[in-house]
Amino acid sequence: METVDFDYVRDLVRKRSAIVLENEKSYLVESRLQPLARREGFASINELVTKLRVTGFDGLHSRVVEAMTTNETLFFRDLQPFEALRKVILPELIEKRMSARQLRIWCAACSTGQEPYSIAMTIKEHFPQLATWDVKILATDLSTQVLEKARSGSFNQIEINRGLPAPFIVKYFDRQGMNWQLKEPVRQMIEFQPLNLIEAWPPMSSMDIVFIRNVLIYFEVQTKKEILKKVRRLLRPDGVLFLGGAESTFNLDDSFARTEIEKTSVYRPQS
Amino acid sequence: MYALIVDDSRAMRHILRKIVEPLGFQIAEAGHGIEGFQRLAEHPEIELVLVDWNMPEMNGIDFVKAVRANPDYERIKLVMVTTETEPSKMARALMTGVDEFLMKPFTPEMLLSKLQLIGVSMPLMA
Amino acid sequence: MQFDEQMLQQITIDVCQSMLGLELLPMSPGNDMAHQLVASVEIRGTRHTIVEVFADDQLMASIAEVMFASDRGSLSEEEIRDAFCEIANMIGGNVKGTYGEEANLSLPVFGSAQDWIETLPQGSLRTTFKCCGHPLTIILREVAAPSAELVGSVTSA
Ligand SMILES: C[S@@+](CC[C@H](N)C(=O)[O-])C[C@H]1O[C@@H](n2cnc3c(N)ncnc32)[C@H](O)[C@@H]1O
Repeated sequence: METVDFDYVRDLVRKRSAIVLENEKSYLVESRLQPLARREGFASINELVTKLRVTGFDGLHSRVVEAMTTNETLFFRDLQPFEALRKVILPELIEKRMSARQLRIWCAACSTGQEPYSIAMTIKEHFPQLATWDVKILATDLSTQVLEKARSGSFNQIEINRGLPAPFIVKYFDRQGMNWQLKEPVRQMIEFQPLNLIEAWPPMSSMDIVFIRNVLIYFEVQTKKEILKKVRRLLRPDGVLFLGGAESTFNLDDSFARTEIEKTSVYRPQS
Repeated sequence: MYALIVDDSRAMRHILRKIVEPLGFQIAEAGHGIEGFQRLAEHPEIELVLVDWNMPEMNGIDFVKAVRANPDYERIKLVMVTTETEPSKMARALMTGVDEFLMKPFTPEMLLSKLQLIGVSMPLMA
Repeated sequence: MQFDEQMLQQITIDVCQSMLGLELLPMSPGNDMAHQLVASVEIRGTRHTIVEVFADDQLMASIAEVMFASDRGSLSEEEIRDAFCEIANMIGGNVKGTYGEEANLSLPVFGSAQDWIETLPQGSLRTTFKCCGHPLTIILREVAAPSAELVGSVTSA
């Protein structure tokens, strides 16, 4: 891949998603663009980039950006955050919201859906009393491709085999040939929407719980700060933020206080 | 810490051993359920058992049933690792008393995620 | 759900590539099966099928070396067979899993493909990959489908 083409793609991806592609990542860019170029009918990456250069931002540009996202995810990733949710965070919030009987949960950068579905199954399994509450789980991602897969609720055996407790497989999935289909009652709990974290966010209700895991790592400090600031504004004063294992608010936003629950860090707005 | 691997395939036992050993377990192996029981008797300190379903002599589900019928083995964690992948079979294994169920084929990471679910600690990982 | 060649390929890829890290490339089937070795498992339920996995002895050894993580030439005949049979077991079990109803899986059987019956009853599937430079063939032999009439006798697996 030619350096000028790499530079163009790096700038495009940075501008549209804030994802920073280091120069050493050029092999990665190449391996992801090659199939895309072929699919879109270009003879080479160079031809694809040439086309990008001469047209205004359109679907093709979005698909290039989407191809650069890392969508790696699994059910109950890292486990502890979901233990914290089940054992401490949800019981606490349910107690506090007893009269409003309302919960709002946002899963930003949800990829193919394993994270929001893990939250939904946790609620179904352990908090049946919430069935009569007004509970909404909003799940968003930049990539419309992963959202489409997430919405389908259909997973292959490799995805099902990772991190998902066997009792949940039996209870919440139907096998359909090679795939496993999440049952309707769990699917219905989630609303999937496209949302780019670095663009203006659509109006959203205040959140009780926000998951924004394993996405800030791709961004520069300034971008992380801006996103955390917006999350802070969206979070209810007694709400809770979950980040990925390699992420924290430290040195980025001191309006959050970190607490350790079930061997995982959760972040609450400082009063 | 002791773990027992019960599978009629030596190759499969080897693959499982290579994943579990680094967690700090000493490994005992058996080729079917009856041998599995002999190993349990020899090593009372076994706390984790990975067991296949289809095996000669005594299959995995009968083995699980027998282990769960013995109060001495109450604290043993049982993980079925099998190519039986129908949801009805998975449900039966759970009802019979397995703590987790892993479908073959799998990767080390998948087995480790299942072990994490049942609280098998990972001393050498962290 | 109709079981098709693509599903058979995907299962083989999951077993050999995702689990064992063996690279598979699709290739057109060869016809010197008689010189190969075969491990098979039988699936008995409403539907009766046999999954047969074919390889030559070099490929079998390569697969076993990966599974035992051992050096070239250091494994016994028995270990090599064992590893190959486990491949058939995994593929067969996963084929069975897609049938949508419970069925029984036999223990794997190993043998030479010499008197293997070449004509495949209707509805059977066959797929071949190149693996470690050698052909790896997987056949799903239909023995009796619920609706179809019973097709000739087959080598007992
Ligand atoms: C590694 S996945 C994390 C999935 C899940 N949260 C987890 O922890 O398993 C990262 C996701 O972030 C999304 N992403 C990257 N940049 C984004 C942006 N600017 N706005 C929204 N989502 C973005 C990607 O599309 C990808 O699905």
